[in-house]
Amino acid sequence: MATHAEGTKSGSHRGGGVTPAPLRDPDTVMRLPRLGAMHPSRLSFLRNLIRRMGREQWRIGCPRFDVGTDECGEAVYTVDTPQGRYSFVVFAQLIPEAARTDRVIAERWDYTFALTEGEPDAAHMARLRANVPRQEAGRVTSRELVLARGNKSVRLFDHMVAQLAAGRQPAIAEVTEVGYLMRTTAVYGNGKFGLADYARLRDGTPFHRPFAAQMLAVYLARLFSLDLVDHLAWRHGGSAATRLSAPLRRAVGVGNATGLGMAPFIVSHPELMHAWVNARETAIARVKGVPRAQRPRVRHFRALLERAIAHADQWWTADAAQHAAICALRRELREIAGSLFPARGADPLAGAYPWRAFAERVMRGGFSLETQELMHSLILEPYPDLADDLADTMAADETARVHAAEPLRAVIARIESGYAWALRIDPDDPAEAHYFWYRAVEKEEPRLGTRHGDPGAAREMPIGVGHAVARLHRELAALSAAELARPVGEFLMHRPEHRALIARIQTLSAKPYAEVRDNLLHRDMRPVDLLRFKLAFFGAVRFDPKSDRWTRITLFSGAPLPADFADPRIDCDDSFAPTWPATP
Amino acid sequence: MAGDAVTRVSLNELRVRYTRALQGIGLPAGTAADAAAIAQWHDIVGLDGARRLLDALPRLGETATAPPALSRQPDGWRLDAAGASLFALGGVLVDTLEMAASAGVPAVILAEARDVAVLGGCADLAAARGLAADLRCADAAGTLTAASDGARVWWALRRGPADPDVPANSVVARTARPAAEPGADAGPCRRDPGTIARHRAAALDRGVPVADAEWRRIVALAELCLVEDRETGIGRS
Repeated sequence: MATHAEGTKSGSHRGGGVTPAPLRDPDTVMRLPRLGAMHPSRLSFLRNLIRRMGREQWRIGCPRFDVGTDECGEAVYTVDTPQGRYSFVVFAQLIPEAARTDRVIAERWDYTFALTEGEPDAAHMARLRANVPRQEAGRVTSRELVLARGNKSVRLFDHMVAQLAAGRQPAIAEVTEVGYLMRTTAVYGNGKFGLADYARLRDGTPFHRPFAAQMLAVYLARLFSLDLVDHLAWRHGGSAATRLSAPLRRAVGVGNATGLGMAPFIVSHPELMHAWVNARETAIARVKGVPRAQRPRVRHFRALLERAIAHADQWWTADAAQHAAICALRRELREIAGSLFPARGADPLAGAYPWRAFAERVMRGGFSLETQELMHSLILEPYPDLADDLADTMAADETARVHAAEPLRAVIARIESGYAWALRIDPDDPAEAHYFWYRAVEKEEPRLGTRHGDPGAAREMPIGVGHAVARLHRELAALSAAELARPVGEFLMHRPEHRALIARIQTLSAKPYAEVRDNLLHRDMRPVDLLRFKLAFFGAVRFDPKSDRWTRITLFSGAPLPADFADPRIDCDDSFAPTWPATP
Repeated sequence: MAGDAVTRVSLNELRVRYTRALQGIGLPAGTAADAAAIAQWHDIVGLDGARRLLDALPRLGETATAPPALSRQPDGWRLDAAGASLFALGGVLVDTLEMAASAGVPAVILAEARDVAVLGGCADLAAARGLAADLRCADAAGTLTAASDGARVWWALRRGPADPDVPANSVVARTARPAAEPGADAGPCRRDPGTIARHRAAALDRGVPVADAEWRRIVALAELCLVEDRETGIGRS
């Protein structure tokens, strides 16, 4: 069921008479395997942030960097924006290897961070020093926007310091095997532990777009990791030391370990999910509505397709399933490049509505989900004029509410139109309720249990929306016509356990991209697919699943350095499908 | 709370902890969310939401077994709460107002309820739905009123003799926009939309102060939702 892009409601989009194509069917887009193959795009949050930093010429300084050769100490970075100054405060300590874990239940970390308003004075630093290294066990204030932590990637970090101290660049092979010097293991915002509420950031700050503050914190964590290796190299090597080369500084990103903690967010914020996906799909629909592809844009597309091939060639994981997917991606990208840009013969992109034809070929031509979604991200790259404004549509208020006067039969109608996907679920099939989601006592970490094997099902989190809708539909369908004519409010007086779900159905049935259209309790469900969906919107690359429940990824690989923003020779928004330099 | 040590809590923390605490004592998710919103509203405007919620706890766990009874008359509907707390029935009250408005019925009485003094949070729930409402209850000091014009909220305590039209342990609700600024004569015991907006801005700017002892109780109740286990969460390779 295709729907028209929002752009059509206000007529043709600006720029060359573009009439957006219909949006892709949510029954196609919102299936878990496809979400688990999603790739970043120019609408990813880190790209949105980078563009803003460049457009507004944010200035990043480092008034304090006090880290000793024991890798312990503090640093402060400042960021000057048109809305004011922010500071990124780092506390560094070297923890024993045995204490170093990516799990959210960790108690110690090599680095802890806070992004705060203004520049901290001595009293503010003292308060941060007493609380930030304790993370969840401490308290911060609404002056702090982000609380985060990370651990160093020991092998690469130590190799890099040793090489730089000796006046040499690190071996490319060592760098590319890991890709980052530090891995963040949690980046908190939105009011947790006393942090500023997101609502506070929506007016008068540069962080009104989703996760903008968190992305800035991660960008600065990356910068710190790069500065730290240079600093330690100098401390160890003195005048013999050299700095990490600019190409490598840009290529190195920040790692992140993401587990199930991210999954409930996707279900708890459906209107936000709809806003994110709708923005991407609308951008895709606009590009598909381009009547003729201009040659410079085709050249840009071709250059990025070649880069995507190199990116895929450099993408490595030990996970067998993901490795197979990457191998297929490599093969298919070459096939696509060969067919789009043959040495002789027809030019497939020279015809009418070339991107629509290309997208349809990719969707129907037997290509893997990885290839399909990478190509849908790639076609956006040559068209910033059609995509980038949609970044301002990616925030959303969560407004789920009961429509009490609506007759109960209207709820059935909403389910059968907006939640028809849930009616594929058989509530009596044990496989369909194999899992339950819960929060563990240990740091309230979200976990997955098996219903008839693990304790805790009585405290199940309401993640299995599809399964719950299927059960509700069955219950409502058994009611008489007279009962179904009565208002929802009366039903809920006697059945309060359905209140949240009916509010959700009544609110979201008109938001087609709000729900993951698969059963999140099913035996065959892969939680890592949920994680990748959200991480792709962050801008993460090089997914490296470590199990079906957690993955490592890299952020800001290929992103500009602070000095790049003022250099007119550098395109700061050119980090799609980042690749490693051939030489340092 | 004067003299108590306080924790400054973000609005997100308030909402999440309240909701989990209420689910922890057995309220269904949707009821818990509405009750949390009611409590949070009182915290925001400086009316001790945490304390009110904790005081109501003994009653809240009883609510699930006693559904309210609705009886309809042309001039008004009566919702018998059977002693349940308005924290747990706030969403139901607003639902009933919405149904009554849709049916052209001017008034709803929620009778035999407890914790009726949190009707300000109910007016806020009504405003979030775009619903106009005028709510009143008897208070030891006089008459509490809260009103919504479908977008903004007013709250006031009119000190003096109780309003004879407002029975004890009841909320008298009208499905109409306030005729004039509600509670304009209530003096300092009043929150108008401008004041509420300033309170909300201050709450966002500095967090909401909650007495440490109260916050610890809330957090402890929220932990009832957690599961003690030995599962590692790492998953299958």
